[in-house]
This record gives sequence, C-alpha cells and structure tokens, in this order.
Amino acid sequence: MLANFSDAIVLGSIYTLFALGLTLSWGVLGVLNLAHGAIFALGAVTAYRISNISDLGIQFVLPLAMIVGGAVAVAAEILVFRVIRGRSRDAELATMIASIGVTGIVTGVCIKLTAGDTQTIARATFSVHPLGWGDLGLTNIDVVIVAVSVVLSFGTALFVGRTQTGRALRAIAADRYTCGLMGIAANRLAVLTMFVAGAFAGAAGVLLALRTNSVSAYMGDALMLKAFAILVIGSVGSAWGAIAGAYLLALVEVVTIAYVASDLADAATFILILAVLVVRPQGLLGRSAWQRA
Amino acid sequence: MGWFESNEVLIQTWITLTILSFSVYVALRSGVFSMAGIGFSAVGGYIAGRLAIDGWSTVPAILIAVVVSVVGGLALGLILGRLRSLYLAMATFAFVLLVRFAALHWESQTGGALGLLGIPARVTTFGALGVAAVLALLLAFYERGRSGRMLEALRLDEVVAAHVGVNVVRQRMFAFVIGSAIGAIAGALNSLMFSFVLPDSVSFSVIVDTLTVVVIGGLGAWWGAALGAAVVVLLPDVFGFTNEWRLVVQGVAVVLIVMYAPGGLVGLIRSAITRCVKRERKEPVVGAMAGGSDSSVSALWTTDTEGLQ
Repeated sequence: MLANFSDAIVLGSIYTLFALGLTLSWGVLGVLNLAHGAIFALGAVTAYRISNISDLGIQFVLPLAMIVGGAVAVAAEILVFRVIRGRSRDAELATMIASIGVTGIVTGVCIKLTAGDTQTIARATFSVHPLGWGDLGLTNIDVVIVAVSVVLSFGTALFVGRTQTGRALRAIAADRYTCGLMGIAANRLAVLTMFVAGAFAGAAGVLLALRTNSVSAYMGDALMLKAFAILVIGSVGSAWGAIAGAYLLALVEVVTIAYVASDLADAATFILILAVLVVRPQGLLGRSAWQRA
Repeated sequence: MGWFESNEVLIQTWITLTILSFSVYVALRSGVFSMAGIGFSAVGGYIAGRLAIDGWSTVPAILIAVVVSVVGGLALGLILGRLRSLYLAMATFAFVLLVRFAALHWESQTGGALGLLGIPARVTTFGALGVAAVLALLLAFYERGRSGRMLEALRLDEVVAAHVGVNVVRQRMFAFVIGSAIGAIAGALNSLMFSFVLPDSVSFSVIVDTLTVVVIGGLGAWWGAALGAAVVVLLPDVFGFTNEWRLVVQGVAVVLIVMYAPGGLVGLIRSAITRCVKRERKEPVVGAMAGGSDSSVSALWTTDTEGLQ
C-alpha cells in the first residue's frame, strides 16, 4: 500500500514536470503545443547521445538536455507559432496543427538519433540502484526525480503566483492585446514561457529514461493524453492545478493498476477527460467555464 | 491500365483515406473541430466486418454500421455539445483513443490486438470509388449556395451567424453526426475491401495523417481532401529513399502550409486561377464593366484563403 503511494509520488513528479510546461504554454500563450511529447523524447535522446560520447554525470547531462529542450521549444515559438499568431486572432487551431508538424520534425530527428531503436542512457551518467528503505522499492533515481520535480514545479508555481513577471504572465493569459498597452513585453515573455516548458519536458524525459532504463523516440506519445487529462482536471493555465492534477492522475493510475486491472489504467485517463470536460469543464481550480462553451 | 492494376492497393488506400478525411473536413468546415469520425471509422469497420463474417451481405452490413455510428454520433455530440475548438478537439481525441482501447481489449468481439481477419472482401475498388464519388457530390452540393454560405458564417463567427438566423446548435450537431457517419462509411469500406480491421486502424498517427490531409488539401472545397489524400498516400512512394525522413518531410510540409498557404492546395489553385483569369483580361475599356466582371469571378472563389485562419 505504501509502496503504491510512493510509486504514485514518483510518477506524479514526472507528470508534473511534463504537464507544467504544457499548461503554461496553453494558458498563457494559447498554444496547445502537441510537440511537447516529442520534446520530452528529445530530452531523453539528447541525454542518451551525450552519455554515449562522454562521461559527464547527471548533474551536467540533465541541464544540457533541458537547454536543448528549451531551445527547440523557443525555436518553434519564434519561427512558427509567433508568425501564425501575428496573422489572425483565432490562431489556436492553426497553431495546434502546426505543432503537429513540429512533432513530426522532432520525432523524425529523434528516430534518426536513436537509430530507430530503444536505447539506454549509459551508466556513467547515473548509476541506478535500489535504496533499501523497507518495502518501498525505491531507487536513488526516484529521490532525484521527486527532488528535482518538487523544486522546479513549486518554484514555478510560486514564481507565477507571487512575482511581477508571474503577474505579467497571468495578464497575458487574460488579454494579450491590452498587455502591450500596459508595457508588458508579451513576445519576450512568450519566449521565456516556451523555454521553461521545453526545458521541463526535456528534464522529465531524462528522468523517466533513467528510471525505466529506456530511451525511445516515441516515449512522449503516451504522455500527451495524460497531460491533457491533468490540464483539464487542474484547470488550464494554473501551475498549482497542474501539480495537483499530476499527482492525482498518478494516484488514480497506480491504484487502478494495483487494485482493478492493469490494462484499465489508460481507459481511466480517457474517461476522466471526458467526465471532467462534461461535468466541470473549468477544472478543479478554475473560476469560470466560459472558455469551454 | 497497367499502372492502375499494379498500384491497386495504393488507390484503395487513397479512396478510404479520402473518405475518412471527408468526415473530418465536413466537421471542420462548419467550425466543429471533431475527430470523432475517425473513432467511428473503427466502430463501422468492426461492425461491418463482424456482420460480413457472420454472413450478412455488403450493403446491409454497411448500413447497420452507419446507423450505429449515427446514433453514437448523436449521443457523443450531445455529451460534448458545449465544448469548443481545442477542448472539443482533445475530447474527440480522447474518444478515438478510447475506441482503440476498446478494440484492443474487447477481445471476444474484436479479436483484440490481432484484429478481425478473414472478412470476405466484397467491396471492389470501383465500388469504393463509386461511394466516394457519391459522397463528393453530396458534399459539393452542401458547400455551395445557401448552405455553403451558412457553413462559412457558422465557421467564422457563431454569434453573428446566430443573429442572422442560423440555428447554431442544430447545425453543429448536424456536422458532428455527418462527420461520424462518413467516418463509419470509410471504416466499413476499409474492412470490406482489405479483409481485415486492426486496432491500429485508429490511433494518434491516423489522426495526424488525416489532419495532414485536410491541411495540405485545404478547407475550401471537398476536393481538397482528395488531393491531400493523394499527396499523403503517394509521398512515401515518391520519396521512397527518404523513408526515414518521411516524418520530417511531412512535418515541414504541414508547418509551411499552415504558415504560408493556410488555404492548402485548394487555396493555392484557386488564387492561381483567379490570377490567370485576371491576366488574360485586356485593358478595361469601360472601368465599371471590368470591375463588375472581376467581382463576379472572385465571388466564385470566396473561400480561397480561408482555410485555417
């Protein structure tokens, strides 16, 4: 029972990093970046390639992968999303479809870099071994995952909620055009948001790859729908919502696998999405449902 | 005729992909971002396949598949009725993946991961082509004249559309259900032509491929889906040597088209034609007359740059 709980915490930590970037980019920029999953995989693939050519430990590989993820997300924003946004007010769907194109590009590159196979990150980067903490079945990477995730996610949530820049981000989410009148550099903050989103996705990728000992160009695919469930539950655009939703979803999944049936965990995700969208579309923390209807 | 015979599978794939894209196109054209048609293509495929195996003949099997999907589409449309754009899109994504999940796990009916095999192949290429042609004709009528203008109004601004008398709720439902029905037809034809249905017939990749077809083809007219499907089906063949880069090439194509040619091929072709017609015109003798003819030409192509804006 306790082992399930700790599993849920570790899983939830990975989900948090992944969902946080997506909720910020969607809530603040109106960009549903479907390439988020591909960037997640890219982070892991980057770590894999670095570990192949050098002996750098995780303290270097993780930040490097994060920078790569962030850079790709920023490139997508500047080269693609910003151009589409500049064209018309109703750019959400066009941006989403363009992000599908970006997914293809990034995934194609990942396939090339992994030679189309599942790979693993070399031991030199981080050697995973179990901690003998009773029946919990935890490994040292689990501690790293939770620590990194909690620091980054709580830090981001506090940043968005309590700082001037955070307030600016929330203002952009509310009304982007008026922000220009108020002296908020929306484009620059957009770049910042996308960088953070990509960096966190890359970090989540590396950490999951270390945990499961596998790197695949397709590892992000399964996560996208889960991320959407998390966003819908926790309210799009809310950092705390993403954190809460992530741990909640992880708990539901772990419990479903342990006590119901192992293959039903995925179905739980889909049903959860549909149920929340119909019953409480604004999510747990949202205040109004006007955006959905 | 030799090329057609040796590439029959390619043509069959093109036909079913076109019809599947019709299902998404119909919905998108009305401003309803629903991919539910893809989910119902699996529903239709399995139902028609199962009935055919049990001895039902072709037309009744397909009809039942469509009827079930219409009912399902109505139910789903009612449930998701209040959702808009991205939220509707993701809800329908979730529905498609739920269908795939059911296909994988409801082994008694669907054969699980192996799918339904040995479905009697009753639909010929010409039969499928005929169905596609009929659908295309219906779509062509739907998107012209009065109903066409209503679709445009609905897609561009629902509030204004409601004010000029468009029954927004009913039209959206209609688009949703029609999309689901066309998807079922695509799936039924697929399973009765290729003799099998797999859970892989619906997946996120299929969604991506269908969206790619609609993007490349453009939302301006029904033949956009046909052209887009031809491009997507032929692309791996033409670029055979860049097979590993197919994803990248497709991705770049989608990005470029969304950014610079949002009307897709339909938009490009129409603006090219308009430009050709204008170029042929001689210097106007009477300004008013030339102005009049110009506007009548451009009125035919009102949706040449609409697409995905």
